[in-house]
Amino acid sequence: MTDLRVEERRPSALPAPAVMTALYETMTLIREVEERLRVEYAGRNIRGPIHLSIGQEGVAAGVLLAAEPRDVCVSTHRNHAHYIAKGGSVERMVQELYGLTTGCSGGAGGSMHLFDDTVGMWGSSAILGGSIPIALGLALAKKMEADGGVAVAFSGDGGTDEGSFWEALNLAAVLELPVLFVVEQNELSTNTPFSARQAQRDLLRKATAFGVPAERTDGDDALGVHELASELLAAVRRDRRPRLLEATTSRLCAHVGPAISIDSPTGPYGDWSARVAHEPLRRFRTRVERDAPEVFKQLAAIEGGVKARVDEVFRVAKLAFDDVNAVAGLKAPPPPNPDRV
Amino acid sequence: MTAKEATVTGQTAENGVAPTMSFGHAMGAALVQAMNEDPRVFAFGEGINDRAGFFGSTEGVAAKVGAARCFDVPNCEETLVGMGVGASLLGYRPVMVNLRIEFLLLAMNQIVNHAAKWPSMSGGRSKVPLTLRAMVGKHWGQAAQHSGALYPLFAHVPGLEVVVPGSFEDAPGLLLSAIQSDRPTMIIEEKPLYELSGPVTLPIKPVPFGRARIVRPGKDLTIVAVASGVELACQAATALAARGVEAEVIDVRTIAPLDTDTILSSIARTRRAAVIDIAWPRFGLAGEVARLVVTHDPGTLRGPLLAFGPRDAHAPASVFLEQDHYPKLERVVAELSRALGVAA
Repeated sequence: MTDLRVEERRPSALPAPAVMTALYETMTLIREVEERLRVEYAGRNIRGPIHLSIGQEGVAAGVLLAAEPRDVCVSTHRNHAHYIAKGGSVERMVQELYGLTTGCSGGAGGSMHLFDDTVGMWGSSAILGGSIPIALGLALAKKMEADGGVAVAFSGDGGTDEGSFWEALNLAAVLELPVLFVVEQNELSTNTPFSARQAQRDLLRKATAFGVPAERTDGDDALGVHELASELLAAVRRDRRPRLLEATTSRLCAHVGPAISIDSPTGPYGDWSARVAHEPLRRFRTRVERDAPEVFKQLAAIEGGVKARVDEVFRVAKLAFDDVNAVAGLKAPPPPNPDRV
Repeated sequence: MTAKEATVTGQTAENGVAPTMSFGHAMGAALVQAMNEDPRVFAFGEGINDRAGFFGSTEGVAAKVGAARCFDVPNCEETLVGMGVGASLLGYRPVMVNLRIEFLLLAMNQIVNHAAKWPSMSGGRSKVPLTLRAMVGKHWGQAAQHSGALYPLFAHVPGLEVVVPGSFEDAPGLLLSAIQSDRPTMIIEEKPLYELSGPVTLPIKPVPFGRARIVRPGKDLTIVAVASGVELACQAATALAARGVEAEVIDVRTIAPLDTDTILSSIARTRRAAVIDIAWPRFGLAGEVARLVVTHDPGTLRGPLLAFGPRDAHAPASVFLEQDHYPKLERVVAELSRALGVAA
């Protein structure tokens, strides 16, 4: 673990049991959908780049379950987790990935551009740093509407290399916009480490210098993320000014495609096994088993329910794909090239 | 257009009253009218509330609509355009004002990758009713970075509307239509328009997109023109009339959408065509007109399609060197006369 990782400042407070089960269900749903995508991707009927969030579920679930329905968010190329955690339809997400016009973006967006305005998921940009300025506009609109809603801008640490990120910190501070910047600090941009990309690696110092109060937390502890995100969202909502949350986490798959998994003997990090041991679902189970046994007893049932749901989601999408393809008559896709995914 | 000009932007006026205004004040009147008609319209720009007020076009606007709807911003064009995209997703109609179009090149990522594509990438489930006003300098030593028309860069991109007013009369109505449009729209205002003043009938009526204006009818030659090219085309048409040639002058007004019907039907009648542009002719409006004509009917033209525009170089600052940069009336008339086979 690098100097950027933080151990729990203190054991995170346990929220109501219903919040704990919701966090676990959301993280499990993200994990199951993505693990299933890894398998189905080999069939070559899901096409285009997919950027998996496996290992980062704690941030998406922790932040977005702390948000309210009137809050809005935008995301990046790695947006599956945010879309699901914000409440986007998993059925329509998977249909989108199969290229069906019944998908959440009408088949036009694909994996990198999941969209569901009915739950406040206003889309994702595949250009690093591209959606951050858009979050400022959502925040400005929320301020003008005065409905109490705020905007959440998700970015990886890769996005913080871009000028738009720093421009956005300044603009949000000077215009007093109700936006929460969430940086998923996985210390990788594709496979280039954060330490090779920024000389001053303390994002909190830098954000604070721009006039944006900032906090860091262990992003693999969904309970801690939820607790801190709740505080920060309340602060943004209260004084209509921006905040930044840096959540340290690990990208336990390849940058793009299904090649590396959480079960790989090595991954893109030097401290791979420690990171796998730290992953958010395992962390959650261990903590809850110790501190909330009555919640722990429910986890197996949650897992079973999620698996059944995901089975059904993929079954329906694949049937629809076959129906459409019976008319469209796509040729069998070429076998995957392991060097290019 | 030399009558005494109105002193206040967008002054309250009875319907049908036509106070005389500077071009800048006329554009400001259109902005204020749009804001009065729709509370979702707001404006921002670097120095928008400066005393110079974007050549008068934002002068006094904040005082009329309130500081929350007309506000100054730091110099961060990419993030500003992105902010406009975000606010427009939630139903607002932002107007971002830019003193020089060159600064929007810093925002190409947001304009091309985001504003133009967001509605499409969401399967048509989102709208980006964002207006970007940008000015194009000409003369007065503007030099290379304050003088590019550059609109063809944007007109290339599906999803963007590109408006280039060619007259004092049309520009405020085109701005109204830009603000009312549900698509991201760029309205590119060439600086010579700001030298004009004249009566403006209130309330200003929107000028529809995709409809070119036939400024002057003729049967022998079609001149397709844009921005100050329209005035040059009219002067050339007058000179050609003395030589027995009746030139039809078309002000395209909106580049995207382009009124292909008016352009094609005019050229089908005259069977001779020229284009007077304010952008470099390479890969520009002349090429587009040629593509339209040739793909429609390659036998249409009886002679060469002549293209006039700035030299294929960057504008020099020097008043002496600049003389040769922009197309001159004498050369336009001489080349058209030669192509038409009449005495120059």
